[in-house]
Amino acid sequence: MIELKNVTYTYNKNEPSARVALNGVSLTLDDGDFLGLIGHTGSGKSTLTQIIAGLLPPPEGSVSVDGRDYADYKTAARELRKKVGLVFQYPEHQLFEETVYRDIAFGPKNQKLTEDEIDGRVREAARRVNIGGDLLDKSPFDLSGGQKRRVAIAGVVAMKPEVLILDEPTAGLDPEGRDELLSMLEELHGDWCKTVILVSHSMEDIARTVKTAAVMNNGRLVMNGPVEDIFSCGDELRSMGLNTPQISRIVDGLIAAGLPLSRRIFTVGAAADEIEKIVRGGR
Amino acid sequence: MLRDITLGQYYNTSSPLHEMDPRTKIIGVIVYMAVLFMASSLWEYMLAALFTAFLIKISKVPLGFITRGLKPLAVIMCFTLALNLFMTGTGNELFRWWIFRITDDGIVLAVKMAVRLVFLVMGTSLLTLTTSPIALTGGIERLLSPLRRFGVPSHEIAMMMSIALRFIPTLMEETDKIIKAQTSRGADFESGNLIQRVKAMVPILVPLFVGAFRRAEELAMAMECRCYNGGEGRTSLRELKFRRVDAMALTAGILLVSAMTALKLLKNGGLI
Repeated sequence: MIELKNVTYTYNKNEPSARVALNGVSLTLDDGDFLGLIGHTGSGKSTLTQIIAGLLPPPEGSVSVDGRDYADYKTAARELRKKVGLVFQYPEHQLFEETVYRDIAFGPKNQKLTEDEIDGRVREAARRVNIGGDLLDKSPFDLSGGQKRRVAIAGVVAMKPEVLILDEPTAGLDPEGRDELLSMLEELHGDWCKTVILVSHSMEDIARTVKTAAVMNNGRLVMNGPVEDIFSCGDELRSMGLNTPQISRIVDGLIAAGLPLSRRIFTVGAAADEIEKIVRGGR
Repeated sequence: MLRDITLGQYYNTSSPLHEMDPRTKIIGVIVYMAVLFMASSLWEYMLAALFTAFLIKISKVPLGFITRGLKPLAVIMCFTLALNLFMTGTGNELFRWWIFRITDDGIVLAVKMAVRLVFLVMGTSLLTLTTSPIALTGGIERLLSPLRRFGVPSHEIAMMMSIALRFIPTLMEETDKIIKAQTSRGADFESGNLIQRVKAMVPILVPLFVGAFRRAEELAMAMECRCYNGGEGRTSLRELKFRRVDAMALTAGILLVSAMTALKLLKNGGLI
């Protein structure tokens, strides 16, 4: 469990270019959570994830890990780095090894695991991100864009972090790659990594993948709760430069046109079921 | 750590130095460097220090910003200091151990070299801190343009420089992100012996170079798409003009050189 209390973070402190990226954010991350983190560009999502992953200089406010309060963030950060694996945006830009196998093994090696354990981790991680065994000996630079992305994610997954954070993992992927990636996350959650945080711009991704979500705006955490509740506040989301999933907007239009649909429909599947019910019921 | 590199960074504010024509500033820096190397006596160094302080004052760039640029140079500084300290053979011997001997001349020379280096870096970083990269390269291009006749590709040189300067912040941001990403994967850059530390740089350098090549390729493509084909027949949006500040800078430059020469003459004449 990771708890942030009243965390404020300023970039370039004491300089004319100082910018407050996080402003009094409090967030509790329980074991087993699958949290969606939404917010438009510059809302502080990435800063928040980096603080949770223990990668930034100490912020103001307090951080506790597994119920233990840390007086100073530096010790907390060491603990956080062990627990949290962060997949950055476009993680394929961080590949560096000669072979896919060695790149995935980088993290487990740093964890000082034994050779056998490393081998097991690499193969398991590759299997989970759907990278075939024949690709393990190839150079990561010879793979396709989607494959590179999955190898890079495997590099973090192989460390078996308790908390896995992914920053816009679907950015730039085709619809098929996106579906595959999100299903992969669903399988990882609970089974391999206790807690998963999915950072995304895409309301569709959030609607189909997670149950609870947090919304960031201008460095503040403005909403936190079940996805249904968040997507019910369409106007508020729009005022923050966000929106509800496309299908919800279609459903809203259908309701306005007189169809007796529920306002709490956020996925295409759910919409199709509801409409089918009405069409069959009407006959 | 990365934010310590101020080289090539522009500090946006308004000051007489910011308003100055880039050509004036480039020539000014050259004169400044020449004056620094002219300096030898204490009084001459005082003059150089006074002038540097004056420049920093009117530039309105916070001192901390300028001194931060010195940190990465600490190694070179120590090296120069040591070299001058131990390799100067002349003067009275003060200390001797094995093959090392320190003389009073050596100490004076070492201190002078170090001070000179500090001023040199401070003065030249003022140029980039007060001149936007576009203005800087525009100035270089115009200054080099007379050499076109002799086949010097002035436009190409200026373009290369402006692209290089433009990409410093981008690459720094990229480096920062890669360091964080590899840290998150348990990489350790701060412990171990020298060889281990150098090895630890590989996971940063490889993605950085790959990224730089990718960016270069994309940029070349984007420039070609907008019909860029070198400097032939290109005009600039903002024409450079000399103004009053430039005349004042010229006066200051002449005064500085004259003062330095005067000090030298006085010294040689045995007056101070």
